[in-house]
Amino acid sequence: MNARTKVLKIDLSRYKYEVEDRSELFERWLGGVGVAVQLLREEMDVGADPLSEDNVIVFAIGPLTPAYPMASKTVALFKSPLTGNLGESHAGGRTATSIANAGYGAIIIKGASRTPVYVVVDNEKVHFRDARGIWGIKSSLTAGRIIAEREKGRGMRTVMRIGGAGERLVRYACVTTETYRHFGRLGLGAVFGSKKLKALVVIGRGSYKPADAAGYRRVYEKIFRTALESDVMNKYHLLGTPVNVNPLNELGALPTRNLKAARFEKAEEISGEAFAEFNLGRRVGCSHCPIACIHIAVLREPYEEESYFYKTIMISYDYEPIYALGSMLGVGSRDGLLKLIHRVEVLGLDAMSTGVCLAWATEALEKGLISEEDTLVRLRFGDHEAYLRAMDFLVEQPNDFYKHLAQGVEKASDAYGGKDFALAFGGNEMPGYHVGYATHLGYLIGLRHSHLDNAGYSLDQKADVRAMTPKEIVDSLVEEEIWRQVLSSLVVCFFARGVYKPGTVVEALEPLGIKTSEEELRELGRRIYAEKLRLKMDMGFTLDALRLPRRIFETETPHGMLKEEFFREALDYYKQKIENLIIS
Amino acid sequence: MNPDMLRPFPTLMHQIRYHLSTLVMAVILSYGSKKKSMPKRLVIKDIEKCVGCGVCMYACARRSAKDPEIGIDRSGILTTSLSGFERGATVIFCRACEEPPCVPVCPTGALTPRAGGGVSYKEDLCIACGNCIKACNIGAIFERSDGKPAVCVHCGYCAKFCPHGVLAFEEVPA
Repeated sequence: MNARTKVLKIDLSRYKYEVEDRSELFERWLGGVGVAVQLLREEMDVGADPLSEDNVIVFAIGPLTPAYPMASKTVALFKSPLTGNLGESHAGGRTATSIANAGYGAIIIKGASRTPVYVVVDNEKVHFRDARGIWGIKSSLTAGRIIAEREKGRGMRTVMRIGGAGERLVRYACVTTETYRHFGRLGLGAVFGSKKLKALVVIGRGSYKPADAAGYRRVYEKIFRTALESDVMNKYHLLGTPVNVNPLNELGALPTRNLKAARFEKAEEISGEAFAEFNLGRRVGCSHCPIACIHIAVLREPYEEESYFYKTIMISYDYEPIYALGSMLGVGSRDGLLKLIHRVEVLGLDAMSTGVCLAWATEALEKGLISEEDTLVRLRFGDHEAYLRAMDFLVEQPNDFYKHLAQGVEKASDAYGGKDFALAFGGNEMPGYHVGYATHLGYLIGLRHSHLDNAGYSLDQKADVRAMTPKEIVDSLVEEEIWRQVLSSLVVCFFARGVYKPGTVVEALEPLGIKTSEEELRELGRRIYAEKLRLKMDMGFTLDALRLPRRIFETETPHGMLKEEFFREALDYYKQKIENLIIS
Repeated sequence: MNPDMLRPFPTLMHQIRYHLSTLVMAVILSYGSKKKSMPKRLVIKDIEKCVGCGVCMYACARRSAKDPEIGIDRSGILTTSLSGFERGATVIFCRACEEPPCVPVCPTGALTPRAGGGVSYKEDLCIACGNCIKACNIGAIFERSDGKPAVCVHCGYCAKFCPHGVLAFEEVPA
């Protein structure tokens, strides 16, 4: 019996909250995304305006949190102000364990406050705090620090907050948790901003007992040792995700200068190896995860006007911001790139969307679709100083151009042209892989248009993919996405997917009183996938509206030039496939 | 700072004297341990290595083989950032005072001094008055949801799980 089956519902319009036990929902859908899809459907009108009080946010955790290590992720579901469709974003930090220890399986945020607030969930109680004095603080770091100092619960809480980007409704603003982790994609930060919610603090210090004490301790140790002693997590253990920079560049799959190229001549300079050698200053971990994959760089900078004064900034780096703000913008100076990553962190922007938007704007300026009067600063690939200023403009939105760009590259290219090189899939800006058909098909059909939905980029790096037909690739992507619905219902970190294999998951659930089988889990994954797709379609999603940016056909991949015909064939097949999935 | 560093060059004699004294100490200690095993306690090996993962807190909750818990309600160790993870992380737990200020304020004898420092805790005697929590000078006793204290009793279980060599369970002179 999973003991974290209570759902806390917070209504910002009425400053009220209630708690309901939904064990039947958790029994049927496990937790995480499985439960969140059902709760969002119950609570939200599918036609809701994403930036109105009708939008609903569901945060959900799963039965493995905090029972086992590396189950430190929270799933957020909401309506995305970036795509106008289903929004889903996952974050680490201390959010998942704090929600679990506070006694909840899910937290729902409804309505909108009239005046800025932040909300503190202190175990069974909820407090609404006046945030007028904090509203307007652009830095998510400063806002987080002020709230952390005012509130109790250090070490057993999460502080999920927005920066200036969320307040100013940048459609790809993120919610930051514990300084360095994010609900990054699809604009949860703007949803917080539209609800006048500066932060959500959750303090938790509860416990519950496993169904089988001895079995629990045994399985725990097995999982723990596998994570540390086998090499399944080495990639994250050593250089972290930036380990990808060099191999992808050598392969010719690293999107560079708005994907005008797929190799970056300065890749070595911004590689995981270079960051580790010259900048890595500290590693930290999410709560209850021994891997500590969060790599933090030290940037030491002299004061502009005074000698022998330095500021030292700690900046978390990962593959995705290195791609989006590095190669995609042609920035090969490591210090310059770190400043860009830091600015994105301070303002509370999604790094990937920001990079792709600015890369598009740079090319649009080169091509004369827009002028310097629009951009206010001369954007040039490689010029990080110009991009730093442009990021501030994205938040301030001093003119029409930045008002459009703050709505994403799809909207901006609707207004100014340049669709062919506006790199978004399903309205979501492109992740950092240009490996082949599976990569781009993955973005297109993934239910949140993320590389993490189905890992097409990984399939493209396997030897036998060249012989695969469009149909086989689609089958393989959907199969992976189905299993990932299980992982994100448990909820375990995708980086730990090598540890949480189907057999291990069954074994881990048993001492918690949840009896299941590998086959049952896959079936559950299939049902969650179908439920999510159905919700997406009810929100207006159609495959026919999906757009393939021309640029992906113009730049060679490791599999050669991509052909549109292959995608058409794949999408036709996918269309039939999902009809069957939804009906069954 | 190491006082040796203040001297320009430690002389050979200094070094020999230093190594000899360490050797003598080691011999005395090993002789002592044959007579009677020394108490052990949880120690910090290198706090700068802490990544703030909190694996120790969850280990503490599982420490009872018969009655493990999931969560941190009765964890006697707390992991926290140093005012934000940009400044790193630390763990807070009983540092095993020789004269624990929490003991004399316990009205029922639930907390008693432990050989090797720190306290033994008899939960059945505890009335959840909270005096010990207030008395601890370093804020290392935490409050459980039933009001009773969550305090480290130096069992060493968490050290087995510390993934980065911050914690260890070592013998100390009684």
